[in-house]
Amino acid sequence: MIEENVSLPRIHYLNSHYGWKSWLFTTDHKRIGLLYMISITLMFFLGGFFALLIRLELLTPQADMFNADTYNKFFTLHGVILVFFFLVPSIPATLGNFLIPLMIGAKDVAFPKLNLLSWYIYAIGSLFTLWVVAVGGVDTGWTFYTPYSTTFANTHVIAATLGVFFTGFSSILTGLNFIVTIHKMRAPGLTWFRLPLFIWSLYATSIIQVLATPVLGITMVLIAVERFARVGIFDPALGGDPVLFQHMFWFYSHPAVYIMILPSLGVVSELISAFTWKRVFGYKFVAVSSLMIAIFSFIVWGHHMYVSSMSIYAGMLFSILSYLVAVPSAVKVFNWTATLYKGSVSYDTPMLYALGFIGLFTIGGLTGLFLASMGLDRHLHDTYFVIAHFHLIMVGGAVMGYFGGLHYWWPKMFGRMYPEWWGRLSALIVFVGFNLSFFPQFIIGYLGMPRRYHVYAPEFQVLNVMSTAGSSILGVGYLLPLVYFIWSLRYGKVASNPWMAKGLEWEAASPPLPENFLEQPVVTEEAYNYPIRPAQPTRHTGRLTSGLAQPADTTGKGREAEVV
Amino acid sequence: MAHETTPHNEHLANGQGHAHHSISPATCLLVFAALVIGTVATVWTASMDLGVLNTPVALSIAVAKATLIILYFMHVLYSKWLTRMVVIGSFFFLIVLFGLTFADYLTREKTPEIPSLYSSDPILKQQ
Repeated sequence: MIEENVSLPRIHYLNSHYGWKSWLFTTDHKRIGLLYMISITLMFFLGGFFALLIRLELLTPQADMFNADTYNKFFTLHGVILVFFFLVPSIPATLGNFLIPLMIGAKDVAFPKLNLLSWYIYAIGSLFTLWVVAVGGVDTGWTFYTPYSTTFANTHVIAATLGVFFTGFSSILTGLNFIVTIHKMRAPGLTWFRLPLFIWSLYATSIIQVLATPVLGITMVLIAVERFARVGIFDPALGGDPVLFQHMFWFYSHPAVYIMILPSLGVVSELISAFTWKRVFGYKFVAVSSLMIAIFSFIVWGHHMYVSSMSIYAGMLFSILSYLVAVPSAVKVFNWTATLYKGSVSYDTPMLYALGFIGLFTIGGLTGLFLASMGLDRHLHDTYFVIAHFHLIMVGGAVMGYFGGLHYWWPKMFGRMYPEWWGRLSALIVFVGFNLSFFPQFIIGYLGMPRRYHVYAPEFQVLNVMSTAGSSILGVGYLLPLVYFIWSLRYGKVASNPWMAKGLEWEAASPPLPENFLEQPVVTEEAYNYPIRPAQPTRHTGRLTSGLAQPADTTGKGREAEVV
Repeated sequence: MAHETTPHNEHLANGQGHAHHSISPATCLLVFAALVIGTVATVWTASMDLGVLNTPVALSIAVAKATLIILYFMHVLYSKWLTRMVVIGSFFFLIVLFGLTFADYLTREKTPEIPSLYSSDPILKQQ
């Protein structure tokens, strides 16, 4: 990070209009991104609160705080809120909304009004879920498996599924908007293989959102149809099949894992490049691997269903197909590692999150291969091994990527820096807390402790205590950024491009102007064309006091001249 | 990423618009007539017992009608390659959903019976 001597532009998207209407009726992609950010932050801490309650209950083998029904509701709400209302919209709807037009040199997304509509639909879905929380919860698990959600449902299943149904439409509209924006609104000269890898990853994510989410919507409607109209779809007594629900649910929900992780993979590509001051090794392979992951994600869902009475032949097919996903995922990890080689690596907060991500994502991915194996899955299915595996992907992967991206683009979004020392401390606390939370779960899962029980055998207590202690540390790690980000909005040092990063978004003012660029940028080179790094960057005497975007230098000489 | 600058509106004027192809009334009527015939055929075949062909015949008529609507009324026949690719891609993933789901349903009956652990192991059998 370098010290900058810059001032905020006189007019930017944050101060161009005032009043609540200027926010709630805005069609500016940047403001909509912030609306999403505030909403998902609320949901993040609500879902995290339920996680802490779960971990507190598991501190001892007996039921100390809650009975079984209450515990069922807590883990269900934890999953529903964090999967559908935080992880799915997290990076695409916040960072994606904010950055895609800036990164491709456009004034806005292709359909700005549709963009605002998607936030309102998300808000309606969230309100349904909050209503469910207020009136007594839902206890089916986040997967809404039949017959829990149909024959034996005695909680607010319909309201919860309606919430998920609504937020699914929000996700579809966001994906559709991004696909059209990336296809039609790229700046002149910005060819596909000049696009930042974050854009590639969001493009792949959008394809999944548009293709898979409707199936989730249909499945949620079918549950309601069966419950209200007694049409036999999932209930054997009516001629239905409960396993059909799992097929339909996982046709969405497995690709949904990639809706959550692919944007993070894109963020990490950006971070690795910016903080090694190098072009990403094997750019084209990393770009295409995002699409490969998106496509493969549609053909592997059956690995969630080996013990569901699914045919073993289908199981064998899904097992083989599941291994395929490891290939493009490994391409990314190997290429990031190769990028680090001989890079000018700096360990600022975003890079700490990125490095943490690589390690955790690798372990999360490799343990996924255990679960893709039919024989081993018999032993590990529905144990804490599975919980640890998917939390490594969803929290160690997706959330780490989101936090890394948030720290990286924070000065771009608000023109101010967060306190770097606190940022590094929080990254460290998150990493330690996360590992302490979830590594013990691999062991207790392997030893046979099943998920979704609030009582357990006494021999598992030590590892459960470690896990609960870790989750408390993790909670502190997540609260710290909330505090210092809010603090930085007023007191943070004014910054423009403290990382000296490349990319069109860094050519715009910080915070960006309402129209992003005063003139249409024309791109003449690929992303990540970093020059040789200046020897000891100490102070950036830069530009952008007037809010005008300035053309970048291609040689790096100009940038070196800025460094005193 | 280096860039030069051009006025914004100049870029927006280039390649952002697209022409709409209009279908002649005669074509519309022909497609409409085909759809009506298809609907009559659906009702007619539903009243007949075609044995194992019941479902394939009904689905074939439905697919034919859907194809006409997609090609003509949704203008896919006159659209750019990208739009066509989106439509084909969507159907591809629908086939994936059905195909892999049926990989389960069509092979469930063929699953071999797993011999009981107790019946095959003499020590366990004694216990």
